[in-house]
Amino acid sequence: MNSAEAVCQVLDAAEKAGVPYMLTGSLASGVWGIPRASKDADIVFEMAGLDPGKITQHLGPAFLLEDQMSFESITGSYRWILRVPEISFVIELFLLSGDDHHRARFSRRVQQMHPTLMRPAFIPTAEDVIIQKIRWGRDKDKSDAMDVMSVQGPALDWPYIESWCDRHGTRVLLDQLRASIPPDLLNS
Amino acid sequence: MNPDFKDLADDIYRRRVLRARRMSLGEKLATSFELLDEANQTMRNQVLIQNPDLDADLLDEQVARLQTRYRAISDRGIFKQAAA
Repeated sequence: MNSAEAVCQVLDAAEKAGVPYMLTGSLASGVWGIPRASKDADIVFEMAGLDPGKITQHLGPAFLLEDQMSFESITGSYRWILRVPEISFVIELFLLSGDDHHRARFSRRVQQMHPTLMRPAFIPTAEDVIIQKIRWGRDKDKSDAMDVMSVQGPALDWPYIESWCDRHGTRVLLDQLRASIPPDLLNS
Repeated sequence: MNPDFKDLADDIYRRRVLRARRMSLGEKLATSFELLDEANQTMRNQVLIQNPDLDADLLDEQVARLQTRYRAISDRGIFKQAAA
């Protein structure tokens, strides 16, 4: 098994359980920006309650769900760690929170055919990747956000991005990152 | 930054961006997965080099411990343990 096959099995499990999902994190930012090395895959699920077993019951013994969950204080998201020990692969499972932007991001997600996964998969829009990355604001997030801005250039819906950054109080960081990009990349 | 260096850095970055623009979304996702597998395999190899006698189970355990430590650093206060 490799990481793409493992992710594919988790998405199949979500569909069997009737749980809507989207791929996020570095996989999503790499699709809209520049692919980079990462240690894990992130998937957001929309389901009632705090029971990832609804999904993992459809996975085989190659997958191992850690007991401990964690909580993200900015958006109120819960996270579980799912391991595939034989390839040292980690998938972070996030429960869709009630946060306004997380809800908007999930409802605007787009479905695309991904040959690597041999199936269609949902990912957030480029604009929503930028908004979330700037909100977390770690160095790797800022770099990912800049890459998406640079690669997508004038195709981005800037009023949408700016309105959410204004609401989150991250407009200054957005403007700083945008100003650091060579202008020709943003305009053409 | 020295203006000459800034021009050089911008030029290198511009090339990376233009290369990414020439790739399809599917190609980029495939590249991300390849990089992910390489990173995880490198970590396994590093643990094995330091501990050549580890059996498969202990190797998995050791790598999992390293990944937990990396994640704690990466989370940097954003995520906290929650009651199960």
